[in-house]
Amino acid sequence: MEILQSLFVGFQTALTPTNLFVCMAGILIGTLVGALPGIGPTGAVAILLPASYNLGPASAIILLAGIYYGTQYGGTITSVLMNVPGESASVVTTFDGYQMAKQGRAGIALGIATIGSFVGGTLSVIGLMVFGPALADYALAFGPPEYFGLMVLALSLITAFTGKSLVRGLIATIFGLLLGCVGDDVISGDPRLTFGINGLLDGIQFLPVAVGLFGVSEMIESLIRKEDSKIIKTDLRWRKVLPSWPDIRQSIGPILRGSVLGFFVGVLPGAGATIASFLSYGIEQKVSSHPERFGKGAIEGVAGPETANNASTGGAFIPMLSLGIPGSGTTAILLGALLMFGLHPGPSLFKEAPEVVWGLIASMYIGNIVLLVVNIGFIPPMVWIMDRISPYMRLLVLILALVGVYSFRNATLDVVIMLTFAVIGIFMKKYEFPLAPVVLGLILGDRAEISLRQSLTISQNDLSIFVTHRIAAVLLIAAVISFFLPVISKALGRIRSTD
Amino acid sequence: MSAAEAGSMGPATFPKILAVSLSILVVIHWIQSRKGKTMPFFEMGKKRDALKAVSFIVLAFGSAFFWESLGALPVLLLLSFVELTWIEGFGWKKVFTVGIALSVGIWLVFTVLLGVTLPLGLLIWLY
Repeated sequence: MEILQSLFVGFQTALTPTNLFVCMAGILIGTLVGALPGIGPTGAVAILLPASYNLGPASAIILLAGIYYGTQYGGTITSVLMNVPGESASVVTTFDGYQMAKQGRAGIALGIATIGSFVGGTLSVIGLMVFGPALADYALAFGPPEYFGLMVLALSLITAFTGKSLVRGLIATIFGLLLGCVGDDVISGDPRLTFGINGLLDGIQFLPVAVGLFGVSEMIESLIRKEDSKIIKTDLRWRKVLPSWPDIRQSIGPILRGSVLGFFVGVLPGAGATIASFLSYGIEQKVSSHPERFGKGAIEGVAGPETANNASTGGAFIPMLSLGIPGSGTTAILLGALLMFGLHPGPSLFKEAPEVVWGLIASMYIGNIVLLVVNIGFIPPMVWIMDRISPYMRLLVLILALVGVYSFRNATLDVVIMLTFAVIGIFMKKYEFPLAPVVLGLILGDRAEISLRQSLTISQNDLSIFVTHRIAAVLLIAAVISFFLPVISKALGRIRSTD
Repeated sequence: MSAAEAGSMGPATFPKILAVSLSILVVIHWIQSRKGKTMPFFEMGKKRDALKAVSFIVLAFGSAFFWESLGALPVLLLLSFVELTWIEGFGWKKVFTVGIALSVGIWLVFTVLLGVTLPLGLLIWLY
């Protein structure tokens, strides 16, 4: 009953003309960004974050969230029509979606992907609505030791599951944590790692780092990386996009399985839409009575993964809103957005700013309906826009990045930091260092340190506080296990292959 | 000796722990790469494309350098013209129309619509 009352408040916030407009703007921008290879949801959210600053917290988070789940819809378009995934969560869709397009069934592939995305997205918002406040209420009892354990767990999961190498993941994470140490120490006020530069006394802001690493570096890299792809020309009017009853019957199972799988995978920090879509594809292949059809245009190979990647977005908001722990680069930036507005994501956010949280949840319901209508009825104009914009993407992103980052604090230093991290980002990608742990380390670093120092102050510098507080102990043990999980599973795989 | 006897955790402790850990990891990574474990080769692709990437970076840093002295709009216009001609290789007609449309459009969105203050630079005489 309380949930429904809160949702009613949320709809009152979401249905204002401003918030309806920014919701639709975010969705359209997200769909286009998702469709355009090169810049992903993290880069798009980072680049548009400074522009959203003047909108206020509720409108800003609605806009940015719209971009986030909009990209999951948009990435399907290029996957199906060009065999080029618009973003990483749409890679799996190329396996069967492009084959369907070559068989003259591009419209059906896009249609079933849209319907699956709508079902997955809506069910995951219901999950967010039910589990989010419950987890927030539970976490109200958390103190500094529990928060420290939670942050260590989040960082270890991101480190272990992002990227190919544990050592490189750790280097990226610790690099991010060190960046978070730059500036005045929060407790004592002593400057740290500023090298005499006055502009660094306030620390390195996450926004220029995120825009540089995820946005601008991608554009620079696109100059080196050449991709020549053509769009399959086909009739994509709305009648051609609606699937037939046999197609729907074949897709119901994958859509329902994808919804549940995507939602729970999205909750886990480190896992996200990409992992959800791959897992879904693997499961559909295993349960299918004709697995040999996969990779040759099986509709289940599109329905399941596309549902899962959208369902993961609702799940990803749960740790971010309820615990203040982002699970991915994109939710890290959304978390940063809330911090920018002086809000503190975590258990108290549901009480302090219910209009922001429930306004966001209500806007996600509205957004999923809008996305269904837009992606069924307006694919031809979107493909046209995509075709027109893509030659100018690099310039557009650079201009938005320069103006947006400067407007954040009117500081040229921020722009220089952004460009420096753009160059760092290129080298990190080339040498296969993951980027998300850097941003996560930067955002969580000082909070983790404060929790650690507060815990030691409470215990009078006795480290056993992390053992005597059971929840903190469990979280730290889970962090250690999750850290070594990829190593253990690799070793087990090697043992099995030698048997 | 307990942590209490050693002293409380000051502002330098956390960065020191991180710096030492990072140094150890970098050494481990270096040893792994010497042992022939996966270490991707930095491929810059064709010389021409690499030169374009470097030019893009120089152009971006140049924009930041002149941002406040010349002003946001003049810098954006210059950036657009140079980027579209030199890096993207478009013709003059497209360069002018797209360059002006993008620069002025985004400048208007931020200054008029969003109320953000951007440096005027050379355009200060307008006010």
